[in-house]
Amino acid sequence: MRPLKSQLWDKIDRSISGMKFAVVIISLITLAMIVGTVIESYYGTSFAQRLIYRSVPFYLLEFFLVLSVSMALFDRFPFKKRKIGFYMIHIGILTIMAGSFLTGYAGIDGSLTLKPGEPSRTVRLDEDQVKIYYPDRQETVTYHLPQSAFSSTLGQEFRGIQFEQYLPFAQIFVDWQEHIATYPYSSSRYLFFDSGHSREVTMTLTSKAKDYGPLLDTGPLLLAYMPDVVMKCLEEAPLGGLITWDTVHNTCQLLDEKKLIQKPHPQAGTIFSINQYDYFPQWSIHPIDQHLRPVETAPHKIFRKFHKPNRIVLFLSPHFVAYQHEGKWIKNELSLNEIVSLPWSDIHLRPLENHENKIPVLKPLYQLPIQNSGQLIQGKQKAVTFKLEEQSYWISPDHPLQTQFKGENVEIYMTSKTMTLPFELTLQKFNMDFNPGTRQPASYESTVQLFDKQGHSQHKIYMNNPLKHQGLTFYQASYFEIGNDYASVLSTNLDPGRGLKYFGSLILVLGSIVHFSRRKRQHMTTSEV
Amino acid sequence: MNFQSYIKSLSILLLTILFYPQVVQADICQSDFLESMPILRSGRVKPLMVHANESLSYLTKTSRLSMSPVKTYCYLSLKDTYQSDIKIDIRIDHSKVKEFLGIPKNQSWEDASKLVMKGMILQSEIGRLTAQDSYKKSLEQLLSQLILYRNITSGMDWVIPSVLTPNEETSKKTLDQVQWSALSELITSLGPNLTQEQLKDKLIQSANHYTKIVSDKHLLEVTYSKLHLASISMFLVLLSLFISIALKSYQVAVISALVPLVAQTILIVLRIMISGRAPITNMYETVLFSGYGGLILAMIIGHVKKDKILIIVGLSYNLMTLMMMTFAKDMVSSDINPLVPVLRDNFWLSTHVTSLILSYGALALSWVLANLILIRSKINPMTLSEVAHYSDLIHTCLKYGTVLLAAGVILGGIWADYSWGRFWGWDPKETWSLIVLFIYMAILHGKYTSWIPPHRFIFLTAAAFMSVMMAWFGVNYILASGLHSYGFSQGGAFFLAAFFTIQVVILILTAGRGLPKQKSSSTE
Repeated sequence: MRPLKSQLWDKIDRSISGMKFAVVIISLITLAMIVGTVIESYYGTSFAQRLIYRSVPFYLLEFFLVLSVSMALFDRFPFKKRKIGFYMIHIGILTIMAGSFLTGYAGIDGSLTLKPGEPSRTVRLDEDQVKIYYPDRQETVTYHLPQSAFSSTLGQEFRGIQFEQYLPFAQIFVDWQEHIATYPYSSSRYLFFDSGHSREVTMTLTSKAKDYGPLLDTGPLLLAYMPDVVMKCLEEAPLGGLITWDTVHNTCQLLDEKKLIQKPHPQAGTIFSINQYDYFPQWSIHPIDQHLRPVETAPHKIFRKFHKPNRIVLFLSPHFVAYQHEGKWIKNELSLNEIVSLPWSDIHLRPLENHENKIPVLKPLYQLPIQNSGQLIQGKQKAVTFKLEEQSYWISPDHPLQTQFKGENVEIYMTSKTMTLPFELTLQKFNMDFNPGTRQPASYESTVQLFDKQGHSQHKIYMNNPLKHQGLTFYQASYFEIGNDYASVLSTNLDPGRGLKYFGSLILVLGSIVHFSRRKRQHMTTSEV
Repeated sequence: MNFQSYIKSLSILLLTILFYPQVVQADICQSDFLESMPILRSGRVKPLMVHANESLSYLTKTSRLSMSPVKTYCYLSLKDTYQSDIKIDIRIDHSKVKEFLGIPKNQSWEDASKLVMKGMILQSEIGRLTAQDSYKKSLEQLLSQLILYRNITSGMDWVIPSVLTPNEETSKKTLDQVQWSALSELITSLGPNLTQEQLKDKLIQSANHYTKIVSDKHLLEVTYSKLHLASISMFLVLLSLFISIALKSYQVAVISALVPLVAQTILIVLRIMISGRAPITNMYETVLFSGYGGLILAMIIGHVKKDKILIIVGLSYNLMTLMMMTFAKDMVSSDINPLVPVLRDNFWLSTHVTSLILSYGALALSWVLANLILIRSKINPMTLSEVAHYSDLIHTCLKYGTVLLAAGVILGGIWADYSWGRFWGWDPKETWSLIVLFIYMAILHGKYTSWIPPHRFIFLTAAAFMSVMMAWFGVNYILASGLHSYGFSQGGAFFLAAFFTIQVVILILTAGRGLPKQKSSSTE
C-alpha cells in the first residue's frame, strides 16, 4: 500500500500530463486569444496587450501550458525511439517558451527617434512613468506606473506627492467652472477651419484660467480676445493703439500712449503706469505686480490694437470678429454655430460657446480607447492625477507641471521609460523612394552616423537591412515630417531569447515532420497486416 | 407589319439611338490598339485595357457597361474634346447617402455627371461629420469615385508616355527615360482643330515608341487579360469534376485533374512574370494559390491512399476558389498593385505565406471531406469501418495542414523578427494563425482521449475550418476595419457571415444522427 501522499501526487501527475488537461489549456488559451483580437480591433493594440496578453491570468495560462508539456514529456521517458518526433515537438515548444520568457524578462523593445543632424542615444520604451526633477539640486527621481488597461488608483505618497490616479487612456476636456470675479468677464470657444485643418480655440479674459488667456498665437493666426464693449473703441483706435476697459462702468476709452507714464522694467521691457497700476499689454490685459503676476482685482484692463504687417491678426469678442484687411477695418457680427468666412485663403470661423463668469479648466478623464484604421481616435492621451499640499494637479506627456514645493522648485512630468545607449546615433539623411507616378512610398532609408569608443562609422538602415551593434538591432520603423526635412524612427531591440526561439522552432518543425511521417508508416503496416 | 419585324425595327432604332452619336463623334475610341497602350497608374506601367477595367469597376462597382471598358474609358476621357454624350451610372447603396443626395430610395444608380456637380456639398458634409461610421465612409468612397470620374473626363487620368531618345553613353532602358503626360496636356499642345485621325496617329506613335525604346512587358498583360485563364480553369475544373464523379477509374480522375492544373500553372506563371514576385501578396493570389496547392496536395495524398475521393475533394475546393475569383471581384480584386515596402524582396515572407496558404489548402481538403461525409452519412448512414476510413483520410489531410501551418506560423515569426525586430507581437493576423493552429492541436490531442471519437472528429474538423476563414479573411474584412465602424455592409464581411451561417446550419442539421458512434479508437 503506497502512502496517501504519493497517491495524490500520482493523481495530479496523471491529470496534468494527460491529454485532457492539454486540451483544456489549449482551448482556454485559444479563447483568450480570440477575445484579445476582438478587443484589439475595437480598442487598439496597447489596450489589448495591457488587458489580455500582458495580464497575470494570461501568463498563468502560459505557465500551465509549459507545465502540461513538461509533464507530458516527463511521463513518456524512458526514451523510446519511435517517440522521437513527439520528444522533438514538445522539447521545441518548451525551448520556444523559454526563449520568449528570456526575451520578456531581459529583452528590450523600444524606439529611437532621430531628428536630422541631432545626435541621440535615448531609446523610448513602451512603459509610462512620472519623473520628478529638482532643478536646484539637479536631481531626478522616478515614480513607476502600473501597466493597467483601465484607470487605476495609485493611492501612494512619494516624495510628499499624493499620487491619486493613473489614466492610461484619457481625454483632456474643457470643464467650465463657476468663478466670481470682481469684474464681469467672459470666455468663448471658437472653431477655425480650412479645407484641410481645423482647430478649436478657447479664450478667456480672466487670468485665473491656467491653460487659457486673452492672447493666442496659433502660428498662422494671432488672436486677441476682448469684451464686446471694447470692440467699439477698437474701430476708432489707430493701428497699434491702446484701449482701456473700465470694468466698473463697462465702458471703453482710447489711450494716448505718449501721455502715459512709461517706465523700464528689467524683464518686461517698457511698462505703462495708469492709476498706480503697471500694465504690460503684450503680456496681459491685467496690470502686473513686481513678480510679473497679473492683478485680477484692478478695475481697468488694457487692450492693444495689435498690428503685425505680415501676420493675420484677428480680434475676437463673444459677439464680434474684427480685422484689418487691405487697408480696411472689417467687423462682423457672430452668432453661435454660424460660419463666418475670412478673407485669407479659405479660413472659416465658427463660434461654439460663450460663457459668463465661468473659467475653462482642462481636466483629464478616463476614456476607453477606440481604434479606427489602425489609429486611436479616442483615448489617445494619458494622464496622472495627484495632490500637492492639498491642491489637485494633473500631468500628461505634453502637459508637465512646474511649481514650488516645500520652498523648492520642482518639475513633475510624465514620460516613457527610457534607456540610454552606450553609443550615439545621428541621422545624416533620410531617403524615401516612391512608386513611379505616385506619392506612395516604395522604400525608406536612413543614413546614420554611429559614434562609439572605437570612433565613428556610417550605416544605411532600410527595410530588411537593420543595423546591428553591441547586441542591439535597429530597424527602420517609421518617419515623420519635421519642417522641410524628415525625422526617422528606428525600432530598437535587444533579444537574448532569439537563439533559443530559433533553435526551438527548428526542432519543433523537424519533430512534427518526423512524428507524422513515422505514424504514417505505422498505419500502413497495420493495414497490411 | 407583323410583330417580329416590329420588334426588330424597334431594337435597331434603340441601338442606333444608343450608339449612333458616339460612333460618329469619336471613332478613335473604336480602335483596337488602345487596349495595349501603356499607361502609368498606381505605381506601375500596365496596358490601358487593364487600367480601364480597374478604374471603371471601381467607379461603377459593377461590370454593367454598354460597351467594353476601354471604349467607355476612351469616350469618357474625350468627353470634352469631342463632345461625346457617353453616360455612366454610379451605384449608391447607403440609404442615408441617397437621402442626402436627394435620390429616391428605390433607385440605386445615379448619373455620374449629375453627381459630380454635388462634389462640393459632399465635401462639406464629410468635413462636418465627426463619427467614423458607415455613412461617412460611404460619402468618402463616393467622393473618391467622383474625383476619379472628374479626372477621367477631364483627360487627366489617362497619361501617355513620351519617350526621350536614350542617351548615347547610357543605353540603359529604364523607366526614367519616359515622361508621362496627361491626355489633356497632349490635346492642348496639339492645338485646336485636332482631328481624331491626328490624335490617333499621335497615340499610336507614342505607344510604339515606348514599346521599342523601353519595354514591351505590358503587352504580356494584354495577353494575360485576354486569356481569361481563371474562367477557363473554372470550366475545366467543372468538367474534370464531372468526369471524376461519373467514371469509376482512379487513373482517369487523376488525368482529368491534371488539365485544369496546367491551366492554373500558366495563370500563376504569367502573374509572376507580370508582377515580378511570388503569387501570394494579395487576397486574389492567396485564394488562387490555396486552391492550386490544395489540388496538388489532394493528388499527393490521393496517390498515397489510392482513393479517388481525395481527387474529387481537391477539385471541389479548387472549383470553389476559382468561383470566388470569378464572381466575388469586389472582395478579391484581381488588380496587380505595387507592394508596401515591408513586403518587398523578402525570402521569409514568400516562404511563410506559401507555407500558410498551402496549409489552408490542406485544411480546406479536410473541411470539404468532413462536410461531404457529414452530409452523405445523413442521407445514407455509414458503417463503422467506413467512418474509420474517412476519419483516417481527414487525419492525413490535417497532418499535412498542421505541419505546414506550424511551419508557416514560425516562419512568420522569423519574418517579423527579420523585418520588424520582434518574433511575436500579438498582431491580429499572427495571433489568428496561432489560434487556428491551437484549435487543430486541441482536436488532434482530443482525438487521443475519449472526448473525440471518430464521428465527433469529423464533425469538429468541419467546424474548425471556420477559424481558418477567420484568420484568412476575417482579420482583413472584419477585425481590421473595426467591428463597430463598418458593420456588415462590406462585401467581405457579408461573405464571411454567409459562410459561417451555412457551415453552422450544416453542422446543426447533421449533428447527432447519421454517423455511427463507437468507443474511442485510440491506440496510443
